[in-house]
Amino acid sequence: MELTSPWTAEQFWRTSRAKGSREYHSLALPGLVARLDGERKFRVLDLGPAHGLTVEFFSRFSCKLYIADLYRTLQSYGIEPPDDEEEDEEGDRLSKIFAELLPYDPYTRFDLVLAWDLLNYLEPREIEALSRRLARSSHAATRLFAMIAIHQEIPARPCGFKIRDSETLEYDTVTPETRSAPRHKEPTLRRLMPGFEVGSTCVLRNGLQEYVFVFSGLTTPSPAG
Amino acid sequence: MWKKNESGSFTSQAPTHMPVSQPERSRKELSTIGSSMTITGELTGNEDLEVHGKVEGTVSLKKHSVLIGERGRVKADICAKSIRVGGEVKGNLFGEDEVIILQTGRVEGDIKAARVTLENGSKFKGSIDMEPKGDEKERSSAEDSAAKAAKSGENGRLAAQSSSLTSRSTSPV
Repeated sequence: MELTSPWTAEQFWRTSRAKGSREYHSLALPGLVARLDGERKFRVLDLGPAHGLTVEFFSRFSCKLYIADLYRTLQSYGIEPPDDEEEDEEGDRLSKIFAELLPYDPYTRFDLVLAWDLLNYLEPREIEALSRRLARSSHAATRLFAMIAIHQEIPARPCGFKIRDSETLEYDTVTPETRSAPRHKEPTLRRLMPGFEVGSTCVLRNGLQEYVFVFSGLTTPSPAG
Repeated sequence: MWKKNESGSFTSQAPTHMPVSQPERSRKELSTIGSSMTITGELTGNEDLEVHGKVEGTVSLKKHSVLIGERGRVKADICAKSIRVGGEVKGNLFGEDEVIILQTGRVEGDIKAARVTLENGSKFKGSIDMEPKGDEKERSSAEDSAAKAAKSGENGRLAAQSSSLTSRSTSPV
């Protein structure tokens, strides 16, 4: 284990390409974890792959942890960019795909959704479809934790983030290859994720911007006229 | 070793034709489904089970342990005292004591157990229902506090270094 500090964005991704796990000090995580201490049972959705460390961390809380391993399973669908004419059809298709990937009953409401760095690897239309699906399983206090890369390059595939303790994340990369980062801006995210308001955000020196979204409910468009 | 009973389920029985010495008798009994075997139906019994072949249906060995070997392929809900998966399982796992997904294990389904361990390299998709026992929760919380205290100097420095170029909060989180 190597503690990479102080970080610059360049250092973060350069060291990410080396083998082994590294630690990452999260500013958003303590607040999110503090919300899980209570009498009732919490529901946590981890959109990333399963990691023993994260399971071990959540085992101390009274909670049900759902693991979606979304990126890997989404890849198996082989989604291609649609033609302009096919966009509506594509939206329906994506909705169906995300419904299959996140097959939770209508009564399941998550308290916390861990998206990690997934949004950096989704097309805007995929983020929209994901957001629509998550909105269905969110309640008024649902928090969504995401990291947006502000650096120009990111690893070619999402990093494996795991929770070591209530302040520390571990991450490892599965490939030394890189790709350009979409660098989503806050207004873009707001547009793509209706119902999810930015609760807090901070840019870290490591080139990641942590976002905590708070679900505020979807507003139904008022009838015309 | 596997005998189909009247209700159509398979019930495990220890072989009776072999002389069993006293020390062996006290040893835990174990049934094995070999890699060339395929069993469909309900598996129940009073001994531990190792699966290296294919099983479809349900497996219920509430007081015993179940191991799914690397070559084991199971499409079934498994209910046992302890479950270890090194192969592939599509189904729900109920472990009274623990469920362990080994490095080579792949599980798609829901897990309910007092203790769940996922080894590095294992694959899992589904949900894990965890209910920590009172003392365990307190111990974890104490460990976390101790770790925080031990790291407080380091973390303080880290927080200062890695924290934001810009930071803001629009609502309490």
